[in-house]
Amino acid sequence: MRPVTVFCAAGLLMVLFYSAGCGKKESVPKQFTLAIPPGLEQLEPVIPVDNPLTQAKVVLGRKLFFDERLSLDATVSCATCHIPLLGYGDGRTTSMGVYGLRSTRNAPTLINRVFGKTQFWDGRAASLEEVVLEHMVAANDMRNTPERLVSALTPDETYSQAFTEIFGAIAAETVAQAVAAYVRTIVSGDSPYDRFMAGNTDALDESAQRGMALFNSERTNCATCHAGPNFTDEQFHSNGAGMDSPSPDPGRVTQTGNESERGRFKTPTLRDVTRTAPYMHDGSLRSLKDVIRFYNQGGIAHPNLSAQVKPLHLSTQEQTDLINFLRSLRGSNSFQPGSS
Amino acid sequence: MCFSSNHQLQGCFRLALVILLTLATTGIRTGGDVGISGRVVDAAGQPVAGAIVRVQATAMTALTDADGQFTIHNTGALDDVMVTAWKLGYFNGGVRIEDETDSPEIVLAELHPADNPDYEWVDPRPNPDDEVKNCGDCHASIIYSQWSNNGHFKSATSPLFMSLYNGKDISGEVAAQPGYRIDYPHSNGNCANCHAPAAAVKDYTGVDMNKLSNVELMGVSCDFCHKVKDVAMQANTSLFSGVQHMNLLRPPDGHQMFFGPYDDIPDPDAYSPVISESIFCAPCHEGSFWGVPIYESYSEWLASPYAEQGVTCQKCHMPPDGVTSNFAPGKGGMERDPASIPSHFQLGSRDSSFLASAVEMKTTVKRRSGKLTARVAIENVAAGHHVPTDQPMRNMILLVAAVDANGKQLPYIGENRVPVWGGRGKPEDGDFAGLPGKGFAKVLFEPNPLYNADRASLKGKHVFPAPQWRIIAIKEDTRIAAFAIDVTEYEFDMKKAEFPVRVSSKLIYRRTFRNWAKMKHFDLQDITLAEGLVRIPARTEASQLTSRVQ
Repeated sequence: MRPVTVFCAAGLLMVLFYSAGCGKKESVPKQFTLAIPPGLEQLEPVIPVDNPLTQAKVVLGRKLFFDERLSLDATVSCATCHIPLLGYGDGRTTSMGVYGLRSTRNAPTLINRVFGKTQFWDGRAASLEEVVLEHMVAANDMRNTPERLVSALTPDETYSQAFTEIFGAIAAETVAQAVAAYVRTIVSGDSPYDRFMAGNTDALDESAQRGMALFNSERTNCATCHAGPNFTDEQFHSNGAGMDSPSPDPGRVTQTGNESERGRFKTPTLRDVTRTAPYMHDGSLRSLKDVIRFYNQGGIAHPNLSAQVKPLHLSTQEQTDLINFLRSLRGSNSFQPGSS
Repeated sequence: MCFSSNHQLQGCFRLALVILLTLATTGIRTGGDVGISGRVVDAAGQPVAGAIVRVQATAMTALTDADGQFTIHNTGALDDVMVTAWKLGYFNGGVRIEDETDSPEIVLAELHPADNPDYEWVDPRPNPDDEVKNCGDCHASIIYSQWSNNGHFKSATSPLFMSLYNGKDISGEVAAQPGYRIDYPHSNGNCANCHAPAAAVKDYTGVDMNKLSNVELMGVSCDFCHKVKDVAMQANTSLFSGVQHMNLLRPPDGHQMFFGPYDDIPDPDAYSPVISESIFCAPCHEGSFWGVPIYESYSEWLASPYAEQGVTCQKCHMPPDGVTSNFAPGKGGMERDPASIPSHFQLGSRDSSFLASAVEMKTTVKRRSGKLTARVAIENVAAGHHVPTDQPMRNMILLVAAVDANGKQLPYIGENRVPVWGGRGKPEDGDFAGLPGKGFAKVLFEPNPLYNADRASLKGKHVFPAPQWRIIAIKEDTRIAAFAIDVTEYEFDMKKAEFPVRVSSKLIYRRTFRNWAKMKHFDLQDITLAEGLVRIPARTEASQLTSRVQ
């Protein structure tokens, strides 16, 4: 139901824009139908009322996503840290902005962020628009200014025309809206796991099936936080990762001021998790094998360590089974625009 | 410590200079001391303490006391000479005296308080026909001709550089990888910060190397270096590069000034101690891309014995030519000791004999039960940094071969081989990959897939070795540090060999990797740095034979 109202509001807004414009033909922009891959049907996309998905906007956002002009010296695009082939991560422990400046956290995947209500590892952004806006001006990311951004994009006629038609003008905010719209279309499902759940018993081998049972068991508690079709509860927990470093990342406490949330980070999705190494908010675990070993030993001791994280005493075979299950979460990718 | 003879000589010269200076400044009072006394004041008439006073173009100096008073002892009789003075923060000053009985008062003018960003650069090229004095108008015969033949002059226009910047072949017409502008079509890059500093000071990220004009095209030009007041290296050399590490002092309209290595050339010159120090070169010879150290010759120097010994960049790359005794003849220049005049050769990777002087190679051959082992030792004997250094596309390749009396190659049974970047193809074309030998370079690669949906055809292609502007990591660094010796062994099967057998070793230098040269149609000759040949006669009893060729 909800998407429908969103689109109605969008249509209305666009009509208002156009009637206020310079007398161009009035038409309702072609809306973009977000194709939800099999396995994710139960999830509710989060699309802001003031930034509905339209075909033109997604196309524009995709072009912007790969455009280095968003950064100070036109060398860094969103795709520098969110590389599609690496599951929209960057393969680095912590990500890198212009001039090789390093941020303090691992670039999280963008997959299925349309289903998330808060963004960033510490949840400090309420929308993807906020994320894009922050990245464009953050000193260690794109290091740009809104003014420079506008003057860099304006000479490109494709942009000036598209922005005029879709938003009325090029501005940091509208750039963020377009990019956020594109990022909302990056969805992944239709994995062997989803096909198995849909009744195709051949989709998972025995090891992966044993891994799935382990994953969902009370023995491991994995599914308590990595819950639901997107394998995340979108909540903040501590598994102790990075807490043994000399200056641990405070994480969620910076947003809430609540000391019990020190060292907590948002549960990431496990969709396409094989592509997104290294793992954890600090990229401290190089492989899935390391991740399983990490949880098997009960994470890293910390006052706010989640009650779900405890030594698991998994056999070597059980660890392999879990990894094989995680491998089965690799989506078909056919739902992402431009991926074909 | 083993310095080459050249450095020993320089060391001796330094020592002599120190003794002379000490003698001159402390002054040995003898009955017949003839000297000159006077005073140094600032523009307001206030005494300037701690100024260096000098009888121009000599080593006769003194320091002023708290009252600005000085006495230079033991000058002997003086006749119509200039007495000069300088202190940090001031222009050089000077007064001409008739003889030693004069009591000169030297007025030192303070440096301009602030840099003038609207200053118009002086053109280096001689043009005696117009009113304007260009650098080359007075310094044409020596300094200009030396500088205009070196890499600094061509830094903004070199076809090699421009082909890499634009992603074209050497003709500048045909698209060819690698190229900065192919990878970042909307970015001008920060190349200008070093390659066109006169333009870069206006915009650290926005200078298009294709849109330079006038003096900007002259690269690292006279006026630019001589306007550098100080160098303050920023810690992050990815974020800050070239001119961003420098403090310039360009004079206001209607004024002129130059920083130089002399404290005895009066206004508009000012002595700059830093211009003779290695750190003066560091802004452009120390730099990173994406946090990965790329240009490192300054830090390599800092970590080498050369830094301890005070053998600066300028000492080797701007050596006195030994002949020039006046660098502005007939234009107000004065006679000096040729050893006190640095040249502007700024020798570098274009100068083959200079390169060859940096390394020594020694090849030793051992034979045992049908196996011949060549041991090659390459020593960096004279470069105060790694060889090769800076721009990582520079590389050296060692080739080792054993040939019998019939001209037949002995089968190679060793492990060391020329890496893939030595060139895939026929050895006679200069493609040496896989041959017995070794490569010396800092080799970069791209750990992550390149992704640009719109330009997948060009950008999606990896280039190996990777150019430094891509998001790279260091695969290996096999270069040879100052005074380090690289030793490798090469084994050949000589059971079927006809004697005599000849073992040859050859070390070549290339300004770019072979595959880059092919892609870009560079016509660069290999520069032979060293060659060795060991002949093994038919029935030699000796088990070890040595060749030492530089």
